Amino acid sequence: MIPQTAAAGPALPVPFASFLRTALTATEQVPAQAVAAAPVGAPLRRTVLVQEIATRSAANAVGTAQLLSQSPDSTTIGELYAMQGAFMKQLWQIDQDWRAGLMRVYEGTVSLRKANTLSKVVEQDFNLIGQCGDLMTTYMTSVATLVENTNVGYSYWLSKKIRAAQAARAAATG
Amino acid sequence: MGDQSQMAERLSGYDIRRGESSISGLSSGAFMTVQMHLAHSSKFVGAGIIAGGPFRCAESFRGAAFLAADAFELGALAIGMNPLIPQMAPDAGDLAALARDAAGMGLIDPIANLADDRLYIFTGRSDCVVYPDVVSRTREFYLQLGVDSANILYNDVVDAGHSIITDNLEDSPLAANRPPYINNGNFMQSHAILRQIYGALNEPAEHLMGRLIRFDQREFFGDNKRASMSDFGYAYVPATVLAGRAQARVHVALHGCKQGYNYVNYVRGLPDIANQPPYGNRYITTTGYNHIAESNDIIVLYPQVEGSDGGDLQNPDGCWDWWGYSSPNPRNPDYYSKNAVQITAINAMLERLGA
Repeated sequence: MIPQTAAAGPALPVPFASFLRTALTATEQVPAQAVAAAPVGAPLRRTVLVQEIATRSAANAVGTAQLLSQSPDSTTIGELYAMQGAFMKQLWQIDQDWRAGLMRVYEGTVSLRKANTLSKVVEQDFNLIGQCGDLMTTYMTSVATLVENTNVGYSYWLSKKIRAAQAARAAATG
Repeated sequence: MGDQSQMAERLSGYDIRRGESSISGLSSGAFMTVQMHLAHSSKFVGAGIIAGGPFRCAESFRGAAFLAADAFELGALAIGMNPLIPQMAPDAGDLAALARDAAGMGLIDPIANLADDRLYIFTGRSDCVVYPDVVSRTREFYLQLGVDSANILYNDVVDAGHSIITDNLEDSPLAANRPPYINNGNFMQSHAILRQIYGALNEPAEHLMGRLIRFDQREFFGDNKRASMSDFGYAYVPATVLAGRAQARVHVALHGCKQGYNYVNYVRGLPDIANQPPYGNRYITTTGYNHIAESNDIIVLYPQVEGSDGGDLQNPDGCWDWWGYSSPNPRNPDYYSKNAVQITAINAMLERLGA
């Protein structure tokens, strides 16, 4: 049975998809099933998520200013310092992992690799390129995870602090 | 004949001591352990939680994102797994109130059932996947629900990574945080869990005389694609129980993420079928549950969950649901309740066994 196909062009309207399209001939078509399942909203989703982080960051800044102006107690300031310390420690660990990974790849490039066939030599060369790509992926996703977690965790912490401050004020005035 | 040998069995019933079941799990299996324990507390006498957070902690902060599903997933990561500082960890008091509300609405069993339950709660000092700050809130959560502190064995002093601990020489070093999350710490954590729950037990058997049964799980979740459960589950039935010479208790052992029998790693978004990890069923066969079950007439039930990535159902690591991916309505998730597809399925397996 011949699978149903559709033109690849409109399926993924992003630059990367356009780049891939140039590598295909006019007769090569993406299966219709894949087109139907294609995440048409993926670029939009990325924009929305980035905007959400930016909005949360702005709200965090306003909330922090509000909190520190109304109840600048030593516990809150101590927790802010602890947060900064924990964030820097995790960033330092990501950097250490990146440097260790780079060193591993570098060692791979300078070490004597035994290969009896041309295909093995080609494979070994491309393995190192692939390792660099994986290292970059790990680095970028680790940093994005740390930023996202910190952003959300901070919002949560701030909302609890503001709620507690409001409750304390209400109790004092009531 | 050949066809029959290729068929998974139907899970059978046995002579079971009702109301004396227990449950344990690692990581997502531990989060699900807490959910299952609360949802069906009338069936359980205790639970073992290794690196698991409190009930519904993924729902701690609805303000994390515009869409509810995003907020719960972000909450699971930032609050339920990796809070930067202890003050960013889940709030045990808030979650205990949520549990009481859920019990009031009949979504879970009455909270009073938990009072005399026995708990084993463990967090490794080197765990970088689910931070110790989160697990300490699980202890606080149970205390707030009225569990006697004398009935909780809380251990946070072992320098272990994210893992279930064994005494197998071939397992990962104790402080490692990597799949298959089974680390060698020179003791069997499964034995410690069962002894905490049931008290003094016979020494583990040298050899297994019972049967490790592979059963068809599909009948327990039907065609529900949101279940994210595998085709097969497993159960170890001791020899004396098989022969009908002893009444059994049932223990449910829930694997963590990346530990199901058919786990496939997703590499750059694609399932790496050519290089499936060789540890698919190590949780079932090497974590020590079966040997101590054999000598103490305990049936061990191993339900299995599987992953998928990139589509509607985002569960690439094959985790049990503790942030709502299986809920039909993300704004009003039911993953923690008796109505949840995974909890309903495990409960149906328990019922079939006779528990």
